[in-house]
Amino acid sequence: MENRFLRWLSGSTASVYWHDSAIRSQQLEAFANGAVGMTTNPFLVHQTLSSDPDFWRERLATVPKGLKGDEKVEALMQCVTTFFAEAAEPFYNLEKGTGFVCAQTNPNRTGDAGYMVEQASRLAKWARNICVKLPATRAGIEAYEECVALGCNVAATVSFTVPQVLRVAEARERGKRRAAANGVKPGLGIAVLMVGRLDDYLRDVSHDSAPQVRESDVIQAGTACIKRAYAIFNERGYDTFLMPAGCRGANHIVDLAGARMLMSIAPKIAEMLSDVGDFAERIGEPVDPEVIGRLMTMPEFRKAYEPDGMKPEEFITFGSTNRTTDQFINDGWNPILNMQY
Amino acid sequence: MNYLEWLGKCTPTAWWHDSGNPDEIDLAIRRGATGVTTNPVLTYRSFQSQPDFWLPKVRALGDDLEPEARAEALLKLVAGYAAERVRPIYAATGGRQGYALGQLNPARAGDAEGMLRQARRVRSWGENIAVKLPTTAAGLEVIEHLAEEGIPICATINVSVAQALSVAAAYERGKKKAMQSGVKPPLCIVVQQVGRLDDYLRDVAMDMKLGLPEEVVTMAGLAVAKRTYALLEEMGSDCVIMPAGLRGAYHVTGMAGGRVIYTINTRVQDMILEADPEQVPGIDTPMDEAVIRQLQRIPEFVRAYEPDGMQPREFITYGVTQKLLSQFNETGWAPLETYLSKRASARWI
Repeated sequence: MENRFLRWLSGSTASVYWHDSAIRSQQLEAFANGAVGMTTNPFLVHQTLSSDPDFWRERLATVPKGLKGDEKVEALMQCVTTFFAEAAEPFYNLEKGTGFVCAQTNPNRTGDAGYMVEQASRLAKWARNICVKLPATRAGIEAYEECVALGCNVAATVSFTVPQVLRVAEARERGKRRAAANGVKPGLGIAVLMVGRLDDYLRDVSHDSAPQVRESDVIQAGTACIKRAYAIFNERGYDTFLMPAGCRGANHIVDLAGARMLMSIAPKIAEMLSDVGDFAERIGEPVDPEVIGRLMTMPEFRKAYEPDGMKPEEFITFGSTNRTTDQFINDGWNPILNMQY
Repeated sequence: MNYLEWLGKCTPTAWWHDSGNPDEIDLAIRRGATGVTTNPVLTYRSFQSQPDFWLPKVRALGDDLEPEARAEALLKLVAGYAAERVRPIYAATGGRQGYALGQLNPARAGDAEGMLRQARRVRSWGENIAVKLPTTAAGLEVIEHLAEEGIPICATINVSVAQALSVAAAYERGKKKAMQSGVKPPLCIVVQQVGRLDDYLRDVAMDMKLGLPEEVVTMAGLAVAKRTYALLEEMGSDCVIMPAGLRGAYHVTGMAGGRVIYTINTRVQDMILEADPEQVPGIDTPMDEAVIRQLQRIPEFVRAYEPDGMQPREFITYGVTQKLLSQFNETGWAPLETYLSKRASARWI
């Protein structure tokens, strides 16, 4: 079905549409509406393998039987990810950030930089347009810098805050200098900001202890953070792409329309956007200062909104980090580990 | 006499079984368990592991309940069954033992009013059902009401000394009001998620490059539980600590002989029987000070270990709280909302 808003967004503005699911029929529809890249995560890989077994049976037949542990999960992820990497390959353009598919590292090891670098290096070899996803913990960002220096495409995920995406962009700058010194060409660099997942967390916190914050404020928290980060990125000339993800409503995309970002849009959000008739670039419109003022009464929002709201070693302790990591483990990585194939 | 029999019969310690599988509940009761703990994840798993037992009961609920009501009804099936199985123990001990748990919707962890309404419904499932709810600021409000109304309480998602002390204080306030109005103060269990705290601090310490040895990390939950125990005893609190999320026999031997209730799944029961530890109380053995000093290099440990390490409004923000809520929610409650239902979930992934 034609999605006029997404066609406009991807065709007439600087915004780039990436599709967020690994279900074949959904990917085809998204690409028909202008999607030119794809994000996956352990949850989405498990979802497609378990909900669409007929589609994957033949491809899975080439995976050796009896694999265990990381080797097994990586092989199953490779099967799904490289299929879509082929579909995205015609759009490959490093400068524009198009034609890539993401593959994520083991969410059970978000504090272990050495482990993550090793795994990322394996994943990156699957195809030239694989973008490896690492968590934006202190260790994950250390691994991110290492991957940039090695020339891998990397996205920092499990990331919800201004301080996280700033440390990621700084890590890319350092990694690029090291790459240049070694004659390595840097790959794609993405800093995800999971706008809706930040809202979800702050909603629970506000219900618990900040009744002065309203629902209409909460749903602008993630947007406020990514707009602030975008302004700083532009001011400092970072070439790391910001990626809004984990959206919960059309507003999460509409309010950013026109931004030079790679926008991760799930089918459910795409459907909501198909009803949007107002084609306007809103990235330059600031979030209402009164909304920000009420949100700032919450310490958890200040951690997310202030450029130095958290130190890197606090990233792994942030509430959103923990709930998202847990979901990637218990509803993604570990179920893949236990799958029959 | 094996270790579990010794623990349950010859010491002030009790132990409950941790799962909703009918076969495992039967085995545990034979082994000396005097109560059953469940949560949304264990409830869902019980349906997966013994479908023949549960399917007719699940089908009898129809397939058209609203998602939240469906999850609640499915939780009631398993908790109600477990409560029936331990009712004789409840009767024989005058209500000191013999409970099953009814957990509240984890998506409402910050919603005091919603939790209180649900708690009153859960209360109607049976006299030996304790209401299980998270130790958040909102949860503390509810705990005070439950104590006042004489409804048995199990405060879960609790990893810190500060949380446990807040529960004890909320319970005391409610208990005072209960006694003024002639209501019998209920049982109040304070869960200590020992293994989950260890798991979290392992990742945090690794991220900080502290190089802490595994034998130090695995003492964190026990250190918090022991400190909580000592403080509650000193205060003369009626609240009972329940160490949970056990990873091995050492978690049991460390508090053995104390006025605590362990919750132990079948796998760890087997590990304990296999290890056959010496039958001596470990509760009075202090923690190694050198280990505590090592752990104190992790600020997140200090928050969990110090009596004033966190304010109540921080409880919901703590890393382990969010991990546990997410798991109860996404891996337990959410699948239950649509389990064998014709209604689709409205939830986000």
